[in-house]
Amino acid sequence: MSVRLLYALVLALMACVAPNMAHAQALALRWLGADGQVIAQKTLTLAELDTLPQTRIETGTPWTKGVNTFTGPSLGVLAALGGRPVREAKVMALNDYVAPIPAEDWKDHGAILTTRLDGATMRVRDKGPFWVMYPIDSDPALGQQYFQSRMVWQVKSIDFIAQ
Amino acid sequence: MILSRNRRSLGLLKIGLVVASVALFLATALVYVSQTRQQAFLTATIRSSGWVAYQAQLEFVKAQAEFAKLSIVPSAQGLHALMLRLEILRSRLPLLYDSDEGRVLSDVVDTRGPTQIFEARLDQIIDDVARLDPEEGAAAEELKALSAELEPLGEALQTILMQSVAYNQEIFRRERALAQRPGATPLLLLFISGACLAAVLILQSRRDRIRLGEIGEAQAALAAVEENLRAVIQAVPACVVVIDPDTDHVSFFNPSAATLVSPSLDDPAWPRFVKAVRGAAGEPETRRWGALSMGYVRSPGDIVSLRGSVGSVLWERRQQQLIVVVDTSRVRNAELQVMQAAKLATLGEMATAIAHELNQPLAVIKMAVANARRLLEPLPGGEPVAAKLERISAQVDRAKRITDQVRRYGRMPTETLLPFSLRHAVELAAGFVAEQFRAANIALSIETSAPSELLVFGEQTMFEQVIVNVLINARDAYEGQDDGEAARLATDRQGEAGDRESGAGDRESGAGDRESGAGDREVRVSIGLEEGRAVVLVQDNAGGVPPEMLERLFEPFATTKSTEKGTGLGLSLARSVIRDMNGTIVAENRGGGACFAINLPTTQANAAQDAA
Amino acid sequence: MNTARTMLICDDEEELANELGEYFTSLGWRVELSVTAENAIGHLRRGLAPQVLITDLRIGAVDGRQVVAEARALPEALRPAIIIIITGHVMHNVAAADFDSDFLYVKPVDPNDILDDIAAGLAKRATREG
Repeated sequence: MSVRLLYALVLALMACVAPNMAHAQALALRWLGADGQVIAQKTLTLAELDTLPQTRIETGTPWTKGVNTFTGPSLGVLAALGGRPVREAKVMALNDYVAPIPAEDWKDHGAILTTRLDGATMRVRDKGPFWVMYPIDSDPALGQQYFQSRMVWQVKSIDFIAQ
Repeated sequence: MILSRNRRSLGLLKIGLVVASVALFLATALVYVSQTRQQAFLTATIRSSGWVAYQAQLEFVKAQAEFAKLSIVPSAQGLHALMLRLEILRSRLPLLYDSDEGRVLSDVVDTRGPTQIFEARLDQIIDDVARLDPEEGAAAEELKALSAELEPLGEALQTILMQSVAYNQEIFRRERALAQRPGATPLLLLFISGACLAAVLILQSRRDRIRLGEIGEAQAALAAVEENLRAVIQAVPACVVVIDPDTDHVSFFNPSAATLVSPSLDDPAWPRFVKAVRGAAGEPETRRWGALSMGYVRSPGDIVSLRGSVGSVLWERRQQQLIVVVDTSRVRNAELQVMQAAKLATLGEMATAIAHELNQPLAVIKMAVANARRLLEPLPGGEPVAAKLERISAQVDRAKRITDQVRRYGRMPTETLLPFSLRHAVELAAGFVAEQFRAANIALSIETSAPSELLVFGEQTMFEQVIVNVLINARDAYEGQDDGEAARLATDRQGEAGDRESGAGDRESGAGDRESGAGDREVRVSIGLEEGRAVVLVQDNAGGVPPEMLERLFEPFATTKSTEKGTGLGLSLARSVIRDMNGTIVAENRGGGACFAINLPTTQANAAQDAA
Repeated sequence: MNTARTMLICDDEEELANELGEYFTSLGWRVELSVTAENAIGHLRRGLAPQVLITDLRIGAVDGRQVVAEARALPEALRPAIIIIITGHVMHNVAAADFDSDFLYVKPVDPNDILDDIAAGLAKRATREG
């Protein structure tokens, strides 16, 4: 009888946790050399991400209504965690979609990895947990398909290609 | 000036039009290109709209797969994976209407409505899955049921996808069709508009060129008119002077004015002239011609009378003063001369009339004297009375001679000068006095070095009269030398006849009683040509004319001769006649006597000229 | 046959006509004086038939040539043998014949001259006719 209870408890816990786990993903970062070899890798939780310097973007997007606030660390900040200069980031999404983002996008165009939309974390169904965002409203050029394809949502990992 | 400004502005206009048309071309091309690009962009968006539907379907399939897997062996990990899949699927659904592609897609098929229904259902399914207990036996059944619940979404997505594909196909088909027809209409319109613009430009330019040509012509015509005016002003016989009213300096004067005042602008005569004109003009504006009348002193002793006006004129593009005057001195003089001539004519007429009238009483006197003599004849002791009667008769003759001369003297000068042979006239005149000369033992000779056809201009009979007068004068001079007056009385009748024909020429011999030596008496008439003028010389050797007489020789009644002889009008008449012939007659003492020289023009032109 | 030693004098200068007439009368001529042209023409028409006609060129306002013409128009028997014109105007280059007359004088004229010319004229006629 107590084993069954324990099982149920664990399950209940897991059930409780699972959705949470479904929400609170971790971000896998890797730094690759030019030849493709993994130089470094890190996995950051949301809490760790929150300790990084945050950037705040207020903009509208093709997928949201009105103007929203996107906060999160700049991609450059993340790239710098590798300790070496990075020329490109390959961002992978939960559905295995991959988009290459050149270093100019976070150096010149201000691309960030959004961890919170309007102050709240995002469920997967709301394009969370992480969403690459650009300050579209401040530069209309960023609204083009060219950049839209880089605003990857449901980000699960980023590979930084070192120079 | 106007022309060059017009040309420049027209040039600029042309350049502007060209630039504008080129810009129009470019703009249209650019618009076309950007439109094409936008079209392409739209096409791309349309294409990727299908992609959104496809992706949603893909996620659906993946979710169903997880469902299937899990329903065989439910596990917590599997549930976790399923949840993830469902979340991803759920996140795909709003993209069907809340994205660029989705918005295009919703134009084709209504995605929002059905999709939102499925979103709600999916939310429910996700919650249901979350609550599932993998250990529970019913879990598999539940999963199956939930999967079945999800199935309609797949169909819906399929429908959307198919419709999107179909739409895309349609677009592609149209694209293909369009690609084969590369926007002919806009290009055609472009071409047409371009051609029209070019045509308008050409026409405009042609019109403008014509207009410019016209303006050029008008300006040239204006310049020609100005040139003509200038030529007219230069040629006009009036004096035209333009003065600057501010400085009183002469801006312009024409050749007539130069002749009147001075050819040089700096000559001080000009300011003097201007001042004189201003003084005479009085009123600032005397526009009426002839209002200005003045005498202008060109130099001491040389006064001309001027008539004209002062007015304002636009000269060299500013207001200046115009003086136009005409030298009326000659006209004045001519007027005076005409008045004088008229007076003389009147006098002449009166003289003629008087002379004519006198003839009547003279005739009566003569008749009466004749009768008286007749009555006296038989009476004794009537000699003294007869002598008186004789004297009376002689005086009547004298009076007749005077009236004759006066009549001749007072006649009007002939205006038309008719040509006649000079030699012939002289010979005729000599013929008249030949008898008298023979009687007086005077040798009369005519020599001529001029051709017989030498013509002079005048009235032949009057000229003959002149020669006769001069010859008679010579004869009288010889007679004066003799003291035989009494004998001459008898020849009075003859002389009378001669006088009637010839009219007596008078001369005071005065040189005293010279022994004539009758055989020496000689009068030579010579006719010659000197420098294109005819010269007639009458030379005698009758002792000459006393110097004091020489001056007044040709004046009327200038004689101290005895009253039986002549009237004192002969030489005066001669001078008058010769003057009318535009010649001269002078007398001088030489060759032991007097020489009368008559100088006459031989051509009509000279004759007329001298008359002017 | 015109009446011998009969004379018709026509001149509006009465004094002159008188003197001239007296002259010829003293020589035994019968002289008729007319102060007007009509008067003279009347005499001619009424058959005066003077041997000599002396007339001025201007009798008042009438041209003396009318009188001359009248005389010339008379039949042979009544026509004057001599027609004389005396005039106050000075003539140039004119002859008696220009006025259809036998003699032309310019006043003042010596009646003795007229007498001589008449005698000569009559003699000439006589030799011609005779």
